[in-house]
Amino acid sequence: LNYCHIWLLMSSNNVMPLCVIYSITDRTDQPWFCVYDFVNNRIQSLRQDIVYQQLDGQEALCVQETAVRFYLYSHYRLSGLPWEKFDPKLNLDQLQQCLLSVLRLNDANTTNSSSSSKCDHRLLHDATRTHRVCSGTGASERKAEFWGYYLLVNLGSTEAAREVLSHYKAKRHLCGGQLRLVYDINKCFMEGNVVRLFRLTHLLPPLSRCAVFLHINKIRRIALQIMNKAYGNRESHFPLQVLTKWLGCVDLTAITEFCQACGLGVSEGSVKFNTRHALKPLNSQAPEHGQPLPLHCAIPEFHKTDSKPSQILMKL
Amino acid sequence: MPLLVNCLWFTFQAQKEENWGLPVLAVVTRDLRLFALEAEKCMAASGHKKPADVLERAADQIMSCFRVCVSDNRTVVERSKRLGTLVLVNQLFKIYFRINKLHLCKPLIRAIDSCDNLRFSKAQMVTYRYFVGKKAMFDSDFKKAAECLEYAFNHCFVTSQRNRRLILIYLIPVKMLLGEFPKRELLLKHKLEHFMDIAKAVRKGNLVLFSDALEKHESFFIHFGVFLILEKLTIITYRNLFRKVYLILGTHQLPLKAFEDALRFMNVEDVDIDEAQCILAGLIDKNYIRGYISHQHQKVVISKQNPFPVVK
Repeated sequence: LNYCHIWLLMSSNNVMPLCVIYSITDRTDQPWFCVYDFVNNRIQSLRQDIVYQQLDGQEALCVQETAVRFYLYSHYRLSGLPWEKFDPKLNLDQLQQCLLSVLRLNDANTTNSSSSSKCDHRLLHDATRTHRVCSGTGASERKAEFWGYYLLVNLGSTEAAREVLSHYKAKRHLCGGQLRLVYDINKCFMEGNVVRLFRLTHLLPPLSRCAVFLHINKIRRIALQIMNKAYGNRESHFPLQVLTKWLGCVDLTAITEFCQACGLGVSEGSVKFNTRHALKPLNSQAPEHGQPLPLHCAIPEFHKTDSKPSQILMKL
Repeated sequence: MPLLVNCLWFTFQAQKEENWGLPVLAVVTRDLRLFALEAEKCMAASGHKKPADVLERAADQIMSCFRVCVSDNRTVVERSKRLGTLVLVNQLFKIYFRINKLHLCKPLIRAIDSCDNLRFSKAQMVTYRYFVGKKAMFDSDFKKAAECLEYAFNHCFVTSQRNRRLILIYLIPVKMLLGEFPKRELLLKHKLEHFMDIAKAVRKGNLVLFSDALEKHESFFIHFGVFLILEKLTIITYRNLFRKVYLILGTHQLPLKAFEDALRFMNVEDVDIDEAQCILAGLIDKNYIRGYISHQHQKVVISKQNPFPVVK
C-alpha cells in the first residue's frame, strides 16, 4: 500500500487523520504533557510509515512540517516540567530530525517539481484545508519559514547561517521579511547585542518566538556575563527595571530569580555586578528528585496570548 | 572508474614492504574524484535527487585506499605506503569540502599530524595546509587558520596565480579579524578589489561604507563562504568608530550619548542609548576597550593607559 491508500483507510477507519491532531492539542480536560505524549506517539508512527514507504512528496512534507511546529510549541509549553513528564533533550532531537527532513524534502520537491505522488487530490485538499500550508501557492514563503526555524533552533551556529546563505545565494534574496529578521537575530546573538535581539524577537510570529525560547536562558546568561565585566568594575548597581527590559522579561520577580540563579546579588531594586565574581553556571540548578527547573521568564507578548494551540500551530 | 580503483586497491594491498604503486594510486584517485565531480554536475543538472551520492561513493573508495596506506607502519620509511597518505587526504578534503561534510576531515588531520617522521612534497603540504586553514576558519579558530593559510601562501609556487588568489580569499578575512589589513598593491595584484572597501571601512570605523561594501560583493563572498567571517568585522568597525569618538572628545570619561550619536550618524537603524550601551559592554567584554560603564552617570570611563588595545 502506498501512503494514499493509508489516507483512504484513515478516513474510513479509526486511524487518526492529520487534521484531528490539531484539534487534540486544544484539549483542556487533560494535562498538556499527556496530550503531548499522545500526539508525539502518533507523529512518530506517521514518520515511521513515511520511512518504510519511502514517501517524499507533499504528504510527507505536511507531516514533517506539522511535527516541527508541534515540537517547537511543546518545548515552550512544557519546559520547566520534571524530566519524567517532559524530556526537552528528546524533544529537541525530534525537532532537529524533522527540520532536516523538511529542508531535504523541500529541496527534493523543488528539483522534482512535478510530484511523483499519485495521491487522490480530494484527500490532499482535505489535508490542506485544515493544514493550510501544503498548497502550491506560498511555497517559497513556507520554505523561508522553515529555514527560519532551522536558523533559530541552531542559533549562533555559523554552519546553519552558512547553509541559509548558500541556499539563497545572497542576503537580499532572503525571502520575505521574516527570514531576514531571523538572520539579523542570529547576527545579534553572535555579536552579543541582546537589546536589539529581543527587540527583533518581539516582531516575530509566535512559533518563531518559541524557537528563540529554546535558547532564552543561554542568551540571558551570556548577557549577564558581558554586563558583569562591563559594569562590575567598582561593584556597581544596575537597575532591575532596565535589566527586565533589556533581557525581554515578563516582570521583576522573574529577572530577580534569574540573576540569583546566576549567583548575582540583588537588593533594593538593583543587581550588583562585580568583575571579581564569576557567574554560576546554570547547570548547577539540576533538579533533585524530580523537582522542576525554574521556568525563567517567558517572552512577554507570547505569554499573554489567548490563542489556542491549534491556532498557533496552523499559524492562524 | 570505481572498478579500476578496486582492482588497484587489491593489488596495492597485496604488496608487502613496497610502495612503487603510489604514483599510480595518486593519478587514479585524482581521476576518480574528477569523474565523480563531472557525474555529480550532470546528475544535478538533470534533476537527480541525490547528486552528492556519487561523490560520497568516490570518497569511500579513496578512504579504503587511505586505510591501506596509513596502516603500513612496519615498513622502513622509504618503502612505506604511508608516504602516499597526504595525496589521498588532499583528494578526500576536496570531496568533503564539496559535499559540505567538514566533520569528516578531523580524523584525517589527526592521521597526518601523527606522521611527523614522514617528508611529504611541498606541493601536497601547501594543499593540505590550505584545507586545514580553511577548516580552522570555519571552526572560528582564526589563529590556526592564519598560520596554516600563511604557510600555504608563502610556499605556494609563485606562478600559480589562481592558487595564490584562492588562498588569499580566505587569508585576508582571517588576518583582518586578527587586526592586520592587506595592502592595496596586494589586492590589485591578485584581483581581489572586493576586499578593498571592506578593509578601508573597518580601519576607519565607517559602518555605512562597511555595509555597502558587503552588500556590493555579497555574491562573491557567499560563493567562497567568507561572508559570515567578514560580518564578524562589524565588532572591530564599532571599536574603531568608538575610538574616533574618544579621540574627538579628548577625555577619559565619555558620555554614552556621544556613542549613540555616532551610531546614528552611521545610519544604524533604530539605535537608542540602551543598544549603544550594549555594544560598548560587548567591546569591553572582548577587551577591545579597557574601561567600564557607569549606568548611574551614563558615562564610559576608559583607561588612561592604552584604552584601545591592539586587536589580536
